[in-house]
Amino acid sequence: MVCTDLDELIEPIATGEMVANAEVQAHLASCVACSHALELARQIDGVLAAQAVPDLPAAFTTRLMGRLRRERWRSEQYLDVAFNIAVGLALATTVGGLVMVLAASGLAAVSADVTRLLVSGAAELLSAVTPALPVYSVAAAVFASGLAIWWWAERGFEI
Amino acid sequence: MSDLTDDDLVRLCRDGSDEAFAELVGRYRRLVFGIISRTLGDPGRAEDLAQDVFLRMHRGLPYYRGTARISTWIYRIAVNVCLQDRSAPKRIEIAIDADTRTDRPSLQLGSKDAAFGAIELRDRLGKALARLPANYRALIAAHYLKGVQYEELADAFGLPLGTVKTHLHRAKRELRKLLEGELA
Repeated sequence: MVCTDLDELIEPIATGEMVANAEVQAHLASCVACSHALELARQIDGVLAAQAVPDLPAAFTTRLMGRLRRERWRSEQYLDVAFNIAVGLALATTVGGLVMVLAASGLAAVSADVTRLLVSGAAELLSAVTPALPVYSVAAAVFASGLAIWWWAERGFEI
Repeated sequence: MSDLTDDDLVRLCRDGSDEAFAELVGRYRRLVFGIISRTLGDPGRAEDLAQDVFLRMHRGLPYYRGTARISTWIYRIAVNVCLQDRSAPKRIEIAIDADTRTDRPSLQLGSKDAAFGAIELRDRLGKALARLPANYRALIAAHYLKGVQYEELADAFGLPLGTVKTHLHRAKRELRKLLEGELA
């Protein structure tokens, strides 16, 4: 046996996964370099086996759960945005299609009369409602405040 | 929660239980952090990456088929995260566990006494570890963590059992050569 043959076996012998046979033992007894290599391999194995598992920061799980909640909230936001875009596109397509159908069928002229009728109706409605505008404004402000509080509370819990 | 099996916890996680997920994290966080920290040599970065491991695991839970043990799956994610990280460590810190301190006599590396020789060996070993390829570092880190068996390593690295053992011996031989080169 020569040193290069034994070099391949040093680590398995050092960890006890392989037992040195008589030939290996004879070589180790006569070769200083190989016996030093085996001793070094044993030292390496000993140090690696005695390593302490590094200590984790105490707040690891808390921070992780925070990241998980943020990630979940973001993905829900993306879903909301995607849903809103899809609804917008569907609405635009429907309105565009309706306009095209009206133009192609000659009903556009009729729809212009309808539009005038609606506009004059809206103007009359506005003139009737104008005296009560402050009441409506206060009601709208209360409603908007309610929505804002709800949005703030939900945002606070999610983050 | 602590008396439930990993599979029970996975089922609860799939139903949206954050408590079950936190219990799973508690069971594996130390090993995951250990593998990453020992592979990268940077505890601060290791914490971020350990969190990435568990977030990936959470995202993957709906697709987990249960063919491998949950621990094996987690190790596989941890190993992948380590191998994808491009940072090259300068040195891997080797802290010795007081309970498992080896009784073997310390090799004298030109030092005055045994204790100093052991510290010197750890220091040089830390530098040598940092020079190993990332897959060898991850393999050594996982192998020497208590509780990680050869079979789980083989599954985590996607290698046959015999190949894992061969790679591990090669990694340690490379470490020895690096140390012998320093000592020469």
